[in-house]
Amino acid sequence: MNRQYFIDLTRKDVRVPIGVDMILHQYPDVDAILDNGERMGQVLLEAARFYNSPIVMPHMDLMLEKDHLLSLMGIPAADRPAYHFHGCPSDAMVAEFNSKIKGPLGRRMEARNDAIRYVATHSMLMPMGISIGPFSLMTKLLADPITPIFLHGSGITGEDDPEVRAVEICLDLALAVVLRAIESQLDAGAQTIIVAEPAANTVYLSPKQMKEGADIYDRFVLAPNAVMRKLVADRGAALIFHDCGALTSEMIRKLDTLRPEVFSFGSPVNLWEAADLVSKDTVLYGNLPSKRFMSDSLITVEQVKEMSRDLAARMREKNHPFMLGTECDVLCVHEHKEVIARKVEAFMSCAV
Amino acid sequence: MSIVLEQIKEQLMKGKANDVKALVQQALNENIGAAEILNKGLLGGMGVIGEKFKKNEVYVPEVLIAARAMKMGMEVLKPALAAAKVEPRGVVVIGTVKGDLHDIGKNLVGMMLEGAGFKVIDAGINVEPAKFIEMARANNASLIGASALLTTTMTNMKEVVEALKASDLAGRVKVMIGGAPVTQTFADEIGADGYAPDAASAADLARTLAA
Repeated sequence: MNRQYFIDLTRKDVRVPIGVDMILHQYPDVDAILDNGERMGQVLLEAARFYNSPIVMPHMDLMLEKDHLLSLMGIPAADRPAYHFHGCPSDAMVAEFNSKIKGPLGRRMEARNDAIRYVATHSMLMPMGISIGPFSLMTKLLADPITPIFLHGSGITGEDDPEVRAVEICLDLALAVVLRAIESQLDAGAQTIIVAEPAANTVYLSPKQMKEGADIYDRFVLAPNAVMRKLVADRGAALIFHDCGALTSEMIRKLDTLRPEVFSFGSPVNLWEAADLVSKDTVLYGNLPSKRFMSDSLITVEQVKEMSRDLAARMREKNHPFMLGTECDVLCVHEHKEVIARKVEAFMSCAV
Repeated sequence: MSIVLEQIKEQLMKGKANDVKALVQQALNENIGAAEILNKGLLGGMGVIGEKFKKNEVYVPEVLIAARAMKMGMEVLKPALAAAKVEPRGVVVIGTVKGDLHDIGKNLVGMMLEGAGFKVIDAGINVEPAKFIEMARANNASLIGASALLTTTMTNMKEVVEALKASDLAGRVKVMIGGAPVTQTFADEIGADGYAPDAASAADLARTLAA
């Protein structure tokens, strides 16, 4: 899967939301579907066909890797969603993790892989995989990852400070799980992987500190993602790098060194400005403010159409490969699903 | 202002926690009043950080590191504050609403509220509406601060507002809300008393609502 494929899609005005959640929640037994790869594969294909998309967007669940990581360390299932390490994970926990990392995956991760297999064997559409990125996964393992990242940027090492050491250990654990998750999806037939790093933004990493010369973005975001990137490239797959947070120009330039085939940025980034910061052959996807779709008082159908036209025009002016889409997962908010669906339909069908 | 109070403020803004701790002790040794050390030194420094944060001159990490330094200073100052019967500006119960596990934003708001002189009771994450009310009652709070990061969970903020209105605390306790998908329009729609777009504004809003 090469980048020309995605560039060609932009020339065909292919538009697609990250919209599986909307289709999935039409069914009353969502949890049962998520546990069943065949049924999930059917939903993924239904979403792709509904949105008339040649690429089969995956369901964006960024909790699976945390759940699996903690399961390998013996944390009970009920505790995993909100679990944070207090200080460094113990040597015993890390040893248990290392002994099990190559072992079986959790039920939902296996179902995700089965869904990819289903798509690959039941359609000519492109199956995609997804994983949370190593940095963002690390931030879910600690109550406050921000302070030790800042301390590292101030010159304090893991040898000096246990909080900094905890970040380093958790980042290594996170990377191992992310690589395992991605590899298993590639083995299942995924031809493109979406890696989501929503935390690689100005909340977690200070632009001021970066400007003063701290290597925090390189150390904690780029370094582990470079390992991920190599895995994806070595397997001949494409990478869609998703980061929906607030980013500086310097952050975007640094992310570009990963050379994804596609960047997916959130609404805090102006894509026409990002076009000046990324490689000319990297597609920019997005980034309509879908987090506001749930209410007409936040954004109307007409405003969605207007924004779509404006964004498309600006990107044509930049002559940069661009695919119209959403800033992030279009979550199904039950009481507002018709309102949300109208806005997705609006950008999918409006003249640009 | 005394030199040591100015130094407390400066070192707090730089996040030098150990220096702030030592300087607060020095200030006490120099017989500077606890309230003055708190207001002019610690809260003075956090106030400057809050203003810089609003102007994007500093970011969340700088705020956290300053709050950490303030916390270290407060550990030294607390006994003196208690002895001098210095009361907090008010009590605020904060939490992330039911179904939501995100806590960075909530934690930051908590630090800024403490930096503004409030006592903060952290109800945690995935908080049921009844728990917000119960903790506000138990702690004699004047404010509830509810946070949500997802469009699917922010709808639960309405339940918090309605639970408060239906309780014996109605009229005595106010609700302010915030979080990435939240807006002033949404706050108005659900009847919240206030909305803050960021942690520094949340502290300003709390001052206004608690007045």
